[in-house]
Amino acid sequence: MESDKNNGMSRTAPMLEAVNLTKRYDDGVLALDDLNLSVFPGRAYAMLGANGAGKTTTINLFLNFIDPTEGEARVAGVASHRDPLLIREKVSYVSENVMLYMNFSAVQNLDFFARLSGRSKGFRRDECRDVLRRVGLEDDCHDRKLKTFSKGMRQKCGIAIAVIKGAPAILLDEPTSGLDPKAAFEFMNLLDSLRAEGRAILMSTHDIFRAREIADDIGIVKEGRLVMQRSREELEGEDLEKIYLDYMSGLS
Amino acid sequence: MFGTLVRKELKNIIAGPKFAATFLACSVLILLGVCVGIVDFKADMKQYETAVQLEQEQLQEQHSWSYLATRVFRKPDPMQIFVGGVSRDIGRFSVLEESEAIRLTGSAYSNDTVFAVFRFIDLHFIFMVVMSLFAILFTYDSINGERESGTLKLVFTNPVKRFSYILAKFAGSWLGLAIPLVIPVLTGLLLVLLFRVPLTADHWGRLLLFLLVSFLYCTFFLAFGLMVSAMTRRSSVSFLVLLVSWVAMILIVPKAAVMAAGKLAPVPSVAQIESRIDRFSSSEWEKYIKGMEETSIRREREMSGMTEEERKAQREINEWNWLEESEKARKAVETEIWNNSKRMYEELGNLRGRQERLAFVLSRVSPASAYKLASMNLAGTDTGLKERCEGQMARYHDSLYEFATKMEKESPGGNPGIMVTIDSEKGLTTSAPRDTKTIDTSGMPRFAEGYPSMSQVIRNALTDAVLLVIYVALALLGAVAAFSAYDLR
Repeated sequence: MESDKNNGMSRTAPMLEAVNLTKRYDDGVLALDDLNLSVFPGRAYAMLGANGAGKTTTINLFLNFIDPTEGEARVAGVASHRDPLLIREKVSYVSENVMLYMNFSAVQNLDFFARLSGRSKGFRRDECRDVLRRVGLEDDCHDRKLKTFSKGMRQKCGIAIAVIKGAPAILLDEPTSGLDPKAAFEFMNLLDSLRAEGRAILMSTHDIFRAREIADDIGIVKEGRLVMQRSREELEGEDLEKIYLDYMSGLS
Repeated sequence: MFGTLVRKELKNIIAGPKFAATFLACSVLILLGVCVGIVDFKADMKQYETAVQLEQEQLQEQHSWSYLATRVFRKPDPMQIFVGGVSRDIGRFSVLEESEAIRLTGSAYSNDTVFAVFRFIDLHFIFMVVMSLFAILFTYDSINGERESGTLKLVFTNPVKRFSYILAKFAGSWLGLAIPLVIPVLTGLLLVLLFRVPLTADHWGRLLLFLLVSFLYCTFFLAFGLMVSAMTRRSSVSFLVLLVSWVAMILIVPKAAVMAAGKLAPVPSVAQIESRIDRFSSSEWEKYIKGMEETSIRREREMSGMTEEERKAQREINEWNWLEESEKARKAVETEIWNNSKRMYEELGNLRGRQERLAFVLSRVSPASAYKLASMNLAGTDTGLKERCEGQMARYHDSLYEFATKMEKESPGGNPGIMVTIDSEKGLTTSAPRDTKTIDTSGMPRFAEGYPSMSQVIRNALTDAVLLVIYVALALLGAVAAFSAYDLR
């Protein structure tokens, strides 16, 4: 495995950090094997890998939906399984298919999740509209029920929830899967702006093109192991698709 | 946080189709049930008043206190509007005769069999069957449905405690179900006032308790639905599990309990008891006849040394004594038969009571049975209604015939019977009653049936109400425990 020790990242503490992270399920399947990665504030990390490689397991470990068998998934230095409520204040999550409350409007959904994240004090409902505008949802759809939204619009709502929460870390599980190129482009622009705000972004994806475009660091996960990890600078002039395919076919 | 979750749950329910369907069904069923109940009660009341009046008129035409026979009627209780219970299954009146046991006969369903086929749907039935089903529909997908839609995972990416979440789910669902229930129930109560149903303060108190118990019962199904939803991954599975459990609790367990009690504590049929009473009666009369024959032979033997003249004189001297002796013996036989009959029915009642108690104990495994028993006890339309009525009628029977005996001694009336004369020349002739003077019934005690008191119904319903609280607590604890180990992915 190649490692990244550049860009002066050691000056700040990582926001998201996997330390010897291992997960073996009850049925004996080793989903994640000794994973080590770090995502610093203001940087985006893309995990590439085939289905079942362990990308979603990594995200679930950061969210403490499952406990690690060994190692730790840390958020702002706190192991997720030690204080799940604390780490959930610091992370936002956007899934492959953002499924919100379909009988609620975009504003109602945003309002609910904002309050749920602990933003009840001094929170104004107008903020929801501002955030929805920011993620590209026009005023005419703010009060429409979610069941009338397209997948792209729902994904924007999902990122709006992450924005309004104001969490320093964002976890995304294949967020552009199934989006048309325009919607995916807009989504990536949003992520870019969030990164520029100093948020740490960990994204699992199959989309090599988008990963290359957005990520500061890219890791390839194969059968639960991080087999490659390089920074954008290290990948300069390299064919990421070829590297990925080589790792997948076992040539590297 | 808790308030945010409850508000979301309530809003989500109100915005969904389940709420509209429940509200519509509750409104139609509850209002229809109360309206039909009021109309039926008014008809029963009218029938009761007419029957009592007719009986009074017939009493005033009676000629003798010795042959006093009448009927007493069970007064309809307005609580039957809400909980029909056994009120339409047990008889509405009993014939009162000096040497006859009290037995309620002529039930509403035996007279109008069509109503027995299409039974009256009361508020209790609506709660027990329909509302419990709606309660299940409100929570069967509370947890696993959110998991399937992906919102559960999204919610728990926030600092939400599982305990708060499940309690908020419960509270939100409860409020979501309470709204479509409370509005039609209050409208139904308004109808009761508009139709001027004669409800006393005690009735209102009992009605309020019945409604509280009904809400408690629906709460159980909400909590149970939540528990099953938190124990299963898919909403289709939880719905199936809940539907089967609902059928078992509403239909299977109560019937199975009654059948098991029938096997464990058998009770002879009324026909068997009547046959035993008849056998005893025949044997007593045989003994009486045999005794009379023996007495006659003994008397003849005592007079065996006498001449015909002496015998005639002896007979004339003793005629009234012998008649009195014979009458005394006859009355003793009648009393013995009456006492035996009373004993047999008491024994039957005790056996039935034992069987009934066993059936109730077994059926209480199901919250639906506990609810049914609690509601019937609160409404006073429970299985004890027949016994209570017959008890009151029996007490009235005793006081009436005590009064009749006293009146007979003070002012004997005429004999209303037909006089039959056998003459060797005229042959057989019959004549009308010898005395047409009627008795004065003005001072006669009147039958006054009392409704069970508030404290009495609370005492009777307490066990089942406490059981319902326990069931709710268990279901809720089960839901909390199941959700604490729920895989949120």
